[in-house]
Amino acid sequence: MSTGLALRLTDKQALAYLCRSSGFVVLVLLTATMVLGLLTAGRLNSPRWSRLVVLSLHRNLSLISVALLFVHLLAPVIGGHLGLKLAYAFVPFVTAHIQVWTRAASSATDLILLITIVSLARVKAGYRFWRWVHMTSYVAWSLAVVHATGIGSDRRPVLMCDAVCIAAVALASGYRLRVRWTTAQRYP
Amino acid sequence: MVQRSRLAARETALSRVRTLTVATIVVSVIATIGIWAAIVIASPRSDTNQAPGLSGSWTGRSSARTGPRLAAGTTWEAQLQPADSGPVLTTKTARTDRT
Repeated sequence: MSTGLALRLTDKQALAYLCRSSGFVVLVLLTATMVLGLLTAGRLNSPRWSRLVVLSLHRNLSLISVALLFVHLLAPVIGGHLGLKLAYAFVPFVTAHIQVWTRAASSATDLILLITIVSLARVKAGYRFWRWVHMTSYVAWSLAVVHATGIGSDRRPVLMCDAVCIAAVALASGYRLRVRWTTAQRYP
Repeated sequence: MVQRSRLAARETALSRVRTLTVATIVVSVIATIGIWAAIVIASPRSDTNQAPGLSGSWTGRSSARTGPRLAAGTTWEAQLQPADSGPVLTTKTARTDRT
């Protein structure tokens, strides 16, 4: 590390910046997971992108997202950034001090963990329960976008990232709804 | 014959999944480190001090890259925290005439 960089950076700051950078990547990965999930539900099937590829990628990306989400959660806690505690990451109403954006994030985290656990135990949980829990991924993703929009001070890159993510999910949702509508027309 | 063709297609699909998964992991790690480095380089110099007349410590962030010394008229955004590293109480922006 150069002297200039060392002057600028303490361990606390390094972890706070790691929290920010991993947050960007987690949001993109969650969006990619959502898009792949919507394409799976829309039964996308082409020679290059068979259903097996789309579904497997959806699963793998969701697990990678969760792994990186833990980096995003633990970095500010370990660094003691702004007095954040581990409980804030999981309990939305733990204390009156934390911002609404952090509450949105902890709610999203809870939902993402619930979706992951139920998906891993899908056979035991049963299809109906799994599907019901899986539908909350829309809420979890929306809360993650709200968290990203409101938190932090670097507005422009965050808003650009948000816009791309929202557009991607909107397009995939449009595809999903079109397939559903077409199927309903064909098999009334 | 059909069975063998299906198995081959499945193997190709799984191979594609493996490649794309590894690529995603690599890109995610590189992106995290890259964005981290970009934030570090772009971030203004931060400092921690005892604010005069306040019991708590404060962390300040200048609005511009001012180097180790504060330039006259620099705007500082200070986040006030109690000494026990509790939650941020308030954020204040002030101008300084220190040089």
